[in-house]
Amino acid sequence: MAWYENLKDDSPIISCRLRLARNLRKYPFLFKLDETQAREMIKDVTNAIMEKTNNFEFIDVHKKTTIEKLTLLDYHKISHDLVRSKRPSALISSKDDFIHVMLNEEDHIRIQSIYTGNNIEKAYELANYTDNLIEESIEYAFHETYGYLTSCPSNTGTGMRASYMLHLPMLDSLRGRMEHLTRSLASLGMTVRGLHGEHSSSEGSIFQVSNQITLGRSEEDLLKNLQKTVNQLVKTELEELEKRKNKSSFEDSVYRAYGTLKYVRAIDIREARSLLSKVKIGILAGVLKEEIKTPIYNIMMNVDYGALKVNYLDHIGNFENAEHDEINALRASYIRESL
Amino acid sequence: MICDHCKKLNASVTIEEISVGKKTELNLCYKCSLEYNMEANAPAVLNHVLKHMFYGLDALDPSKKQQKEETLECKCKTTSAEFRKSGKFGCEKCYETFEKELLDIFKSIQRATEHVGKIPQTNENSIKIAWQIKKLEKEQAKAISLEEYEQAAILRDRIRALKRENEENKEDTNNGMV
Repeated sequence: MAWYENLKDDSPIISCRLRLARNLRKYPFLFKLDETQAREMIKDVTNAIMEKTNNFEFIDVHKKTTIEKLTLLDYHKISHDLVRSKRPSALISSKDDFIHVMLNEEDHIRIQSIYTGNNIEKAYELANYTDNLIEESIEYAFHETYGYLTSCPSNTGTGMRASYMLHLPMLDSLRGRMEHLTRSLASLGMTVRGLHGEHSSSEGSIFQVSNQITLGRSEEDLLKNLQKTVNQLVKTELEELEKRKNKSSFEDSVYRAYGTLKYVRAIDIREARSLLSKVKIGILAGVLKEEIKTPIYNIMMNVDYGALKVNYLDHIGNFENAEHDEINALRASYIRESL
Repeated sequence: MICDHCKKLNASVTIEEISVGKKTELNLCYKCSLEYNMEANAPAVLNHVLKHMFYGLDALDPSKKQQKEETLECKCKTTSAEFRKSGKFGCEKCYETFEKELLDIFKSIQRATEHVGKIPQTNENSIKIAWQIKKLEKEQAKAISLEEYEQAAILRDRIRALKRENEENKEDTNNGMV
């Protein structure tokens, strides 16, 4: 089962993700890697994994169409960088979909593990297992003092970035609160970002909290710190929700959003995310009593452009040329069916 | 107060940043602060630090001319200018070529300069011994400064023994490879 098929609406924590950045000693880093070396590097790592287990499959990202790449992005299997990359690049995914190894992203290797809910330790365990598997037959660029060497010094040391995806509409609605939190978390070595990483704002009140620091602390310490921060954010969000959930205006806004989504005939991505966010918090608060067929975050992912296109390709023959109105109509019909 | 970035709107957010041991304050309007915060992931923070490091606070002011810096070039053909622009290294050796800049970057964005986490299994032993040697060398220096020469001699012998052990391990590995 893919990680996103197990989503629930019972906590502000949606999912957690862990990424390890590694480079091979044998080759220059990505920016100085020529095409032949890039292909050889991909082959080396692929062999290192495939020779030991048949739980993984190889995807040549370079050969995928833009739409296919965008879908991989929507499901957080690959990054913006890999979608845009003109270099040979690949993705090696475990068949159970919990581990994704990106090849030739910013570093030669980016091992990524995603879980729903509060499971960062499990994610680390799995990423670490994959790391050890690769390392059995490949020598990494490792420095006695600086640790794992990465192309950007902001990842040097552990090469580890752990993050949580959180739905925080209550904190988000308090003017200046998120900015204030972002600032104070930065001083603790944490980063807060909007939904899809660094390139979009926080539509739908989805935030990503991750460790900024990668050097001078052990993986365990970094994870513990992050968990502490996340627990505090969740606690504050729930306290704020407790204060507001019994107000009639709260119930009204939840049902208005639900009513609109249930009967809407065309909707753009921003409005869809914002209304879905209201429904999601309504479910968590226990205010929305309707039966919902699909986890809300799952719907949020599927209303994204790429995923919508691939899942509904049959509805509109030539999706590339489809008008915005048609896509908005398709999005609306998908939401109606899912609620 | 006017926003330091767009120089148009009123500043509503103050961002304190500690870089190169210096605390700097950035006053931003709501719009610019959002961009700044959203981009507060590694590369953006790094770019900010890089600008500060090489050009000082004048980097934030486009009207001021930026001064030239000395240029280094790594074996892989990465130059200081290239690194300053992208914040990315071209190869493992760049860590040595640009070590001076690197340490400043580490101090400001990582707040540390030494790795203490996972070690690759293949050279786990030798690295652990090397870390141990470094620790003992620090203790030895401290003992000498306190004129505790007896203690310093004990530490010296332990360091020697560890160094020997590491040499032997290396030879074993090399022999194994042949």
